[in-house]
Amino acid sequence: MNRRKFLKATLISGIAISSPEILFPLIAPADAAVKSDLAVARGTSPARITRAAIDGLGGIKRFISRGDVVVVKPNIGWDRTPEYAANTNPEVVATIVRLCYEAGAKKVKVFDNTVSNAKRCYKQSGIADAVSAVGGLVSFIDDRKFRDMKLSGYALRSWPLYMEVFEADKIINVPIAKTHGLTTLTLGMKNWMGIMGGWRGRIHQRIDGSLVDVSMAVTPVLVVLDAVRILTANGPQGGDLSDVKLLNTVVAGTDQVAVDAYGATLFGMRGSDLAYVRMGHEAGLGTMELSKLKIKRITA
Amino acid sequence: MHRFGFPSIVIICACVFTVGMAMTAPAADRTITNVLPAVGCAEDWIIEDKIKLHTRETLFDHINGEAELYFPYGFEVLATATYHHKNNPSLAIVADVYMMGSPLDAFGIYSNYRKAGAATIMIGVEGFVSSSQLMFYQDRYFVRLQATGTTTLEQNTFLACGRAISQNLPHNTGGPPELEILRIPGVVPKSERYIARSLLGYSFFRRGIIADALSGDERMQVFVIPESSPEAARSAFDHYRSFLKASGQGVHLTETADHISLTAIDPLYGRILAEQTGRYVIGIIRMKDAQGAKRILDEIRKRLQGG
Repeated sequence: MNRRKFLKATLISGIAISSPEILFPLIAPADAAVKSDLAVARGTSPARITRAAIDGLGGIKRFISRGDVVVVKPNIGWDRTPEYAANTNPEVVATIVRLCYEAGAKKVKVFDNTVSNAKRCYKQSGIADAVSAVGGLVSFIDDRKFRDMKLSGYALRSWPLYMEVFEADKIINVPIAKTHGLTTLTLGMKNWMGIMGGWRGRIHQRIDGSLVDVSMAVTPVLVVLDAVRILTANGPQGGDLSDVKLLNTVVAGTDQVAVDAYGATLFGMRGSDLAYVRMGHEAGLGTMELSKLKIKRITA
Repeated sequence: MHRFGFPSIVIICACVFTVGMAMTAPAADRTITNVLPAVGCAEDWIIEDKIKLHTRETLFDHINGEAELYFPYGFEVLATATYHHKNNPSLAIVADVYMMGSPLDAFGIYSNYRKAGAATIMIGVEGFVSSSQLMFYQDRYFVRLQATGTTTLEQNTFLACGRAISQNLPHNTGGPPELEILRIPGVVPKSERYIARSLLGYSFFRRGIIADALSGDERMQVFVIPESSPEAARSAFDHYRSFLKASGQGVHLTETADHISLTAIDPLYGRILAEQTGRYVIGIIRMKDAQGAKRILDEIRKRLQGG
């Protein structure tokens, strides 16, 4: 552990977890009349705050058109029930699927390349049931659908990625905010690990550059960060409720780097503390300078 | 209380290291497969699929980025199995047995997960149980049981599974000798952590043990850094002194026949007291009571010198 990582770990357990504004006063609330870059909704209903955050950006019809085939990509990586904050909240995912259909989507597909046993992850996360209940198409990863794709080469020149993502008309990334042993935090860019095939060990060797590479290959129309519950320690798998903090927050945006930079503040950190956010910013993928963004705050 | 002298620590560490090196990876794989119960780990809890093994190359497939935490602790191989309830297969226990580099390494990884106030268990050298987890370490093995499909699992089930695994592990329940250094008045029991890389976040402190200490109501932290020789310890100490000087803080140095010590303000940890004695660097961070801190270091130094 180097000094920077040690400081990050210390910060995570610090005071700023639920009130990033205290540490980051330059994150200015947006004028309601001005188009927002990020929308941050808080409230006790995951479904309501998800809808409110997307409405805060102009509504789902800004992103989804009639007849679209949409891929919604949550984190379903772990054999954990929702209370553990290891997977994306099922209500958040189901609400997004429902909104896509309301906007006229033809199909909404949901899948993830899980770490634990896929059947157990899909079931225990609550995501399979919640998504199926609103008409979403839940499928397990089919290894035959990975294809080598050229990447930007920060760490990977090419890598097998899941073709269903690229065959869709629109992609919505729906990560959960939690700690991660290797990248400190896993947010939106890290969530693309779930569309990557190949050997995970190779990706982890140069993880930050790899995340930038894959994030530049995928163009989500929307990123919705689930922070209803966040995992503040022992991520990514968690497994103890004492490591979970209830924030009742959903963050939405179109800029992958900006959403992750905001996500870092939920843990008392800055986006620049995360190497992949910094690299994404420098690569022109998006901006980590939250002070330059219009952030709309909503209580729903 | 058993007193652990400096020469004994060296001999025991050397033996542990030698035994660890002699065990080849394939033999280790065969051994660890037999640790997990082949049929069921407790009454009504039956194995699902086969026992799987993960090496350094595939540990990411099981715990993703958390694997990085294990590597500095000499991770060699993991055996994992899932046991589900025969009447409700959605309820499961994932049992992971990690073979680490040494008993100290097994303690080190365990101490990363140990929580203050957790219910302790009489399995292995030390362990705890919560509503969803049971963890312990024994010899060079770290064992982690995780309930899935529920947030509350009956404690007796966890304990039965834990005992079934423990009885298949080497019956070394004495704990790593290095921890004996901190078995002194003032150090909070079960607060010790072994950090295998960059103690305090400083690369010149390659590894070490840190624990909470109390002087009256004042809480501070004590650390012990074992080095290979007095020269190596002096080098680490001098690096720290240079770092403190470079950070613009005044450093007050004192040298006696058997140790050299300094007091300063560390930019991260406030008032500190540190010293080099023999092949060790020892110290106190977040110090408020200087006399109390000195008493604790005196105790540690006596222990290291076999006094």
